[in-house]
Amino acid sequence: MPPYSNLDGRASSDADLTRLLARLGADDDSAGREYERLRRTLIRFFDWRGAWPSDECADETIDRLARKLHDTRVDDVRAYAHGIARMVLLEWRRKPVLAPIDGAEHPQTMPEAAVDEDDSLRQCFERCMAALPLASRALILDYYRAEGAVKIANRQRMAAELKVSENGLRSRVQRVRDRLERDVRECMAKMTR
Amino acid sequence: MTLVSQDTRARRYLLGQATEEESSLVEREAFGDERALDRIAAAEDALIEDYVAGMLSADERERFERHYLASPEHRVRVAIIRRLSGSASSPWDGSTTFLAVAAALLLAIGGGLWFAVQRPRTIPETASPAVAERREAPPPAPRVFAASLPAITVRGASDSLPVVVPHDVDMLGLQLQIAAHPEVKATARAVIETVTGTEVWEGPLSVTMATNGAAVGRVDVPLARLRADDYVVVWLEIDAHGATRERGRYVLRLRTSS
Repeated sequence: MPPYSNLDGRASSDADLTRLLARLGADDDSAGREYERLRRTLIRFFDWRGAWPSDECADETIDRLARKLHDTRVDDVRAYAHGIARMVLLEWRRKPVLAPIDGAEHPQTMPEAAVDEDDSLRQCFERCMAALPLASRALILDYYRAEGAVKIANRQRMAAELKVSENGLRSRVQRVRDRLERDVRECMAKMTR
Repeated sequence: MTLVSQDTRARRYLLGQATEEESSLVEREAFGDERALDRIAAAEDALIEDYVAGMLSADERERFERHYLASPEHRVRVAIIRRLSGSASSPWDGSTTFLAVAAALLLAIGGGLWFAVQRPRTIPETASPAVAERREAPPPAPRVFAASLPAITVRGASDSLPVVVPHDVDMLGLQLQIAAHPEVKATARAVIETVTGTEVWEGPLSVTMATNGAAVGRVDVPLARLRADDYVVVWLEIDAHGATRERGRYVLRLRTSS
């Protein structure tokens, strides 16, 4: 069972979800887009606030939001979602953290260098990079190439060639990196099981 | 508010330096406007890249390590960006080991099969123990076996000579010959497939143009990824729009010697 699902013990129903989608968009397409946008925002919120797994916290928030719409008048769904997310965050922070007795592997204190050099991360990184589509792999490798002024010029060149803004380029790279990150985390979780 | 101050505020938020009120304001904007969300994401990327490049101030670095890296998701993110940026050794960060044999490879432009095994320098027996100890400190350089492969032509592809690699070699440095100049702006990659088409390895191809209109692609392949077998090496080009085009195919008949 995911560590952070259904904190208040009630699952949202299909009717709740339909209600939420109806509030997010006038038709299926726009509602679907808005749903994804809201979920992305929530994942970022929990991620930046250091709550993890951020996607499960986001889903918990959406479940609660969907249920609330049944009996609560909500004018601004996104602002309301932010409010619920803050509550979920507070509960997450109060949640007891299971840690080894000696504390050596406590997630809050493990230094970054230990993770970077961790063999499972290296193996998973290489495996997941190999699994990326070739064009995606080439895109992120090119994006992170070089340093300083050369790096900046390289990104300007890439954006010009792809006919997107530099921010658009960054967003594209981020989508690939998000997938890579998710795959690496899943791979590492499998290796430690 | 100016973009600079928005970036500064986003950075403070990410480093946990913002007050709860400031954080709430940043988040309200992010929930209400996707551009605000993107700005924070961009500030996060810049922050991580500055950290990886060692460009944060001592205070920011300390904040980053204590606050941002407290999350395991963030630690994985930073480790990935570090590897992508080439700060950590990885087969994806270019063909640096190839430089070790580049000079030797130039001698083999004529084609055919050849090899140049690099071994760690031995310490002369006359060296003092202290000197020997100092010289032994660096890790041994990977032993590279280099081979030049002609492109598959209509006739004679199956006649390629086997590449017989000594068992104690770490890397296979392949030199791929191509008759026509590849696209200058394209990214070149080499893919190694089994004869049944299963991809077993893929990496960046370093391309050198020759004055006679030909070109040479070079790639280092960790031999741990290949067992003695017949393979097809594919030279791929990826243009600025992400379109992939095949430029050449090569037969690699890999064998090991005892």
